[in-house]
Amino acid sequence: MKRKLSVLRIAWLAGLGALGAQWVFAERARSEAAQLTRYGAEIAVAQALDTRLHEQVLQSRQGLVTHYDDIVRSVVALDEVLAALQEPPPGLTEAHRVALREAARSAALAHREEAALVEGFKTENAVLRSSARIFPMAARQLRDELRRSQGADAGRLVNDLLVAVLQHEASPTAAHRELALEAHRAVEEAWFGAASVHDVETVLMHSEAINERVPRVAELVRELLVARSREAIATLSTRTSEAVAAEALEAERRRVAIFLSLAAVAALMLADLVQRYRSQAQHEALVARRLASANDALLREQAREKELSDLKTRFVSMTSHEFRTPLSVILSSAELLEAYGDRWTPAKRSDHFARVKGAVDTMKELLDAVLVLGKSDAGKLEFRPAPMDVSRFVHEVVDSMASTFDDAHPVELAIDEPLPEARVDEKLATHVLSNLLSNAVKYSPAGGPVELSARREGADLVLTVSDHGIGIAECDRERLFESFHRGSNVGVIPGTGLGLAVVKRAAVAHGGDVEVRSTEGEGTTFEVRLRAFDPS
Amino acid sequence: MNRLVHLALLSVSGLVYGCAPEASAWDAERELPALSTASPEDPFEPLPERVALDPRRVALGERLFGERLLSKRGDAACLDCHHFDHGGADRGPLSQLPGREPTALNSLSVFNLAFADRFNWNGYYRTLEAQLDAPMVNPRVMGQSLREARAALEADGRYTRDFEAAYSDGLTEANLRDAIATYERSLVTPNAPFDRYLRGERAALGDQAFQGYRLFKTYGCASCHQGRNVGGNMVQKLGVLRDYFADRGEVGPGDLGLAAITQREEDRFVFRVPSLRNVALTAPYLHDGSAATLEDAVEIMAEYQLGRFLSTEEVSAIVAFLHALTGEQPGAPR
Repeated sequence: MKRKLSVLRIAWLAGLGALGAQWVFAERARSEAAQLTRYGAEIAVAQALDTRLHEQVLQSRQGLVTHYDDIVRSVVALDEVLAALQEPPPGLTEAHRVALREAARSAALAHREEAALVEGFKTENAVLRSSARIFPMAARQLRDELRRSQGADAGRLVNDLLVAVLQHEASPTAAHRELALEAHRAVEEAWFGAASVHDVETVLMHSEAINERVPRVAELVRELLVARSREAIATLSTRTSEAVAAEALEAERRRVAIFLSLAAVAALMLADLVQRYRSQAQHEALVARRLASANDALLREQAREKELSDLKTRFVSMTSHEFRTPLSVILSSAELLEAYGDRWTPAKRSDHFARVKGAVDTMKELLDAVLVLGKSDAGKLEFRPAPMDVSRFVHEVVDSMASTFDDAHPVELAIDEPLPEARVDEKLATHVLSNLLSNAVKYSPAGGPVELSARREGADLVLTVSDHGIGIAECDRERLFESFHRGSNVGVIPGTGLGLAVVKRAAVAHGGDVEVRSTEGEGTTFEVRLRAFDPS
Repeated sequence: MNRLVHLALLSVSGLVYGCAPEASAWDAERELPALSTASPEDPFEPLPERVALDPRRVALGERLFGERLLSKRGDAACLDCHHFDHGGADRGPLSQLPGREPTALNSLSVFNLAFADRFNWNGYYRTLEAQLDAPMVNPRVMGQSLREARAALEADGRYTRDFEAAYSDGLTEANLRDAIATYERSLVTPNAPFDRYLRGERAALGDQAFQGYRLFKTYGCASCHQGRNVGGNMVQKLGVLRDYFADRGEVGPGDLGLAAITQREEDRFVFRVPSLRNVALTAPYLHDGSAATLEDAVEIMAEYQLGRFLSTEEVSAIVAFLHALTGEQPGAPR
């Protein structure tokens, strides 16, 4: 079977192509979503780092932690993460990349500002922490010394300063700061003994450092808390989430398309398969039919071949026998006439001439019958029906055979008058009637009447020939119409065994048949039906 | 056969699609940098014993550290100012290379820089790679850019193969920078008595050193000298409480500090708070190398940064603590 591209096949191949394309798009969307998700995870890290950085600064501000390694690490890590985020995943669509890069850049910028604030915080806070450590120690020591040596006034002043500055440092409000500065000025203006000058200077220095640093650190922390970095990173995160959602939606849409394409391709493939099965089955059935008919024709040919071969065999055997008999009659009569003719009486001579004529007639009959049978067996029996007056035809046949009947066999004609014109092949019909009539005469004792009737039954012309002869044995009837078959009770009555075969063929050629009714020793009736009239 | 192919195609495509992984949700939160073990009582953490680095790059950096081709005149190497028997710093107050003016600043140690956040005395540089430019282009030190040094190395040819082995793109300026920085990161001085103390070995600090450690925290030194490197992670004005330069006099270009680069008034006299790791080995001290001994340095710091005059006992205790910061020294480049 030749493989060809059916429409269905092209359709599902195209569907497969579409499926592949959808697949590629879906994969791209999926990988973009995955990349974006990883990118988003990095942003989450940045957010966590940023949050932690703020917590660390606050803790450091509140004195819980007095070292900056962790803050430094958070700043550096956040710097690295944000730098990495400025290069969004390469597989993204340009729009996403630009938006994300923009957001990441502004986040990095915001972080740089934040980092500068952190640096300032570290520097200022370190000084504040060290002054906050030293100042109360030194101030207490100075106060106690002053109380001991110079009375309560100077000691009280330093104590006021200590309290005010500590208050300011602990809860840095404007009021506290005012109070601390006032106390600071009071101590500055007070007179202290020479021994205490250096200590007072130390106390005042740290007081001043604290008073200066507290608002500065507070300001830095406040700025840090409202730094744009958190917001900028959140914006980046939002952009990424949006991009992820968009890609996920795209992937989902592509997925639906893939499923639809898959279903369509499957259906088309199935249809293609079914169609191919069906056309193959059809093709096979056709081949089988052709094979069967070819086989039939072959068998028919074979049968006909066999029949022809049989016929030939029978013809050969017949010629060897049936033709030889009249020939030998002719030969012997001719030899006798040659040798003794001049000496014979005229009566005897004519007797032998009559024998020769009779033998020739027999041979002619034989040849006619053989011709009919041969043509019939070869399927070449000519059938040329023509309109015919039945009554005229019957009379002509009977008249032509008058010599056969002599006076010994009176023929009783019974023709339904008037019969319409029949369509009959007259030549074949003549064979039918003459054979039946000659048989009736031949196998009836002298004086036995022969009845011949012709009538119409529907479309059939029915010719009946009856005799009161020897009849046909039951056992002979089966093969009665075969060539060269003769009844078992014919005795010495000469015959070729071809007559009835010819009758049968001729009747069949007319679309009719022959029936026989017979009782051995009483007589025989042949009824021939020829389809000779219009069915109406 | 044909239909088998159809069916296989269909089922395979279905299968592949069905098995394709879903876009995963947010990955599990990435680990943030670990928090230090420092506490308000011990605002420090010990140095790690080693740093994981590419050994080929470390080896390359080690060779480069002694490579005189890095200098324009081909007569000076990093080693000439960073002595491994001197805590990675120079021996004199300032560095003097042949045929050049002395440097404006005292040469700092090259040890433990993997844990530093700021580099150079001015604290302007935030990475080792970036700070490399300072000594390179300085005409008193190397006197040529790293680009020129790279060309010299390439012309020399001795490094080409090793760079190709260590870096996919061979001897480039960035790789040259990276190799030197990578080597410097490998220079760690672990297991100082103070590190052992921080790891729980309380006896590692002697009585005097422990007293010094307490004073170090109490007087506020630890406010700035803190973290793993006991300093090195912030900038601070020299003379927070008293004017150091007024007392010393003769303010030179080397005294400007961060302002030398930023040109900002508030950055004047602002310097990186140096690491005190191995400080006992790296005399003289301060950016100008003006403090010959640790005692001098401690007194200057106490006076100008803390506004405090320490007793001799207190200084000795703090110096004893500073000696406890000396760790295992790395081997010099071969």
